[in-house]
Amino acid sequence: MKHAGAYLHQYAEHGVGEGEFDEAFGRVEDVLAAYRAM
Amino acid sequence: MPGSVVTVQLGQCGNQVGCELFDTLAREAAASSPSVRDEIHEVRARVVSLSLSREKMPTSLLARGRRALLLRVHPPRSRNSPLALVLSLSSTARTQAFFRSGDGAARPSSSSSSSSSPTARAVLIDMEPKVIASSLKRARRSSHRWRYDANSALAFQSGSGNNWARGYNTYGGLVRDEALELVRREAERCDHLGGFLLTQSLAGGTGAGLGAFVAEAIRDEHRGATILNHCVWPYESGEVIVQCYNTLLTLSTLLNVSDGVCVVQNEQLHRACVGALKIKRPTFDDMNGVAATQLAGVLLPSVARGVTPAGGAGCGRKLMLLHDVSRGACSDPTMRLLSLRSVPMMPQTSVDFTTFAWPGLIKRARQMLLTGTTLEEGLDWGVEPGGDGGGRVVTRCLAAMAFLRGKGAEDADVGALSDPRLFPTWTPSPLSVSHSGARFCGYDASLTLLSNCQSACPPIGRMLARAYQV
Repeated sequence: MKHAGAYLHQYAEHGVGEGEFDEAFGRVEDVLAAYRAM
Repeated sequence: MPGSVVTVQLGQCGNQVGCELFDTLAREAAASSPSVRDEIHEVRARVVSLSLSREKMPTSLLARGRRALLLRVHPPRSRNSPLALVLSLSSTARTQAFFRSGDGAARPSSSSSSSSSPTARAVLIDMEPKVIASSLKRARRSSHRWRYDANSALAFQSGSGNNWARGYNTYGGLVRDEALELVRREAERCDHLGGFLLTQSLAGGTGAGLGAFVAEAIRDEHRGATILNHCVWPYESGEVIVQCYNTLLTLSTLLNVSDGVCVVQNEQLHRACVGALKIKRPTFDDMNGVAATQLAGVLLPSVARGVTPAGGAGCGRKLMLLHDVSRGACSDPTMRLLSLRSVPMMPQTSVDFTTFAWPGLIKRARQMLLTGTTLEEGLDWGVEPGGDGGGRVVTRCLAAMAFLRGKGAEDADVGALSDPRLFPTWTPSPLSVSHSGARFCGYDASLTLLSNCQSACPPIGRMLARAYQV
């Protein structure tokens, strides 16, 4: 993630910063974990 | 009464899949019923008796007969014979969940020759007008007699490129009010709103960023409504890293607002075209056709039955879209990933030379579910439920809905799909079954499986790993 600074900059320009990325990835990970625990 | 569904087509991919879906629904409505001839006679009889003794008709018949009469009195163009009009009325009755009748609304723009065609209950949204225009055109040219309402389309004169954030935040704010107004208008035209179906791609520009925004806005505005998302997963080979980000951002948003997120992989649609349909170089239209078939297998009218043909709770009741789908497959709010499978799938030229038998179809669908594939070809028959798979994938399933269509659908034995080893022990009634006697895609017997299972997980896991690696 950290190395993709150039790309992340384009997102940040439109209000989606690292915090939003972390939240999104975290939510998807939680869902995957729920399925794996099944 | 089964509810009506408003479809919201988002971005290029979403518009193409949506268009293909409506075309499939219209085609099946016109072709599927074995008793269509009887219904023509029935409707004709009503029209005749209406003109003879209007007072003596029960109100409901009168209302239906009056519509037929209107069609007969005011045929839009002479190329439409009375028979075609009656036929279209009877098939409209069968697809009213997805189409509204085109004869009712007196809009100035509805004076064209196609104004009496069933009109898709759809809202079309894209940043580029050409995508919307080609959907409208495709519908107008369809041989299955349906159309879009051009007033339900929203297009702007710029693409959102591959920047999810621009689509979501910048364009989202611009589009919000107008988009919600169109959705509200379409929803108000339903006697009973059964929910929203949103079609979009997960990775691309408009469908992803703007699509995620619109999904959220619809949820805000229609708190109690059922929302089902149909999402196309990008090709994994050669994809740019931005697609990874876009996909995960869209998925995360949708998992938060949707009742069910149906993930359909481009890769598998492509392989289904090549393998099952024998199309050497599939176009996006071919692939969208497969996606639309799978979806229509769920959405066409069906009636609930028990896992054992003898019965169970709610038997014989018409399936309520989309409420019953969400209840049957997405009862756990933290687990809303859905997969679709349809068997059989073959070129139309092969249908006449094929024998269809329920046990084989059900066995194949079960093995597809177990091995986590949506493809019939190259099935791994060595995988057993409950086993460790010897290093191979054994998919477990939270819930599944089986839609049986065709001859004998009412009492076909689906025991193989209700094997308790397929499901965790804590799910109360993991399998729901519904049926329709109408043939689907010309097949004497066919099965569509909507499952809430682990098979959507491996691609998501790979996508996450890539996003973190970069």
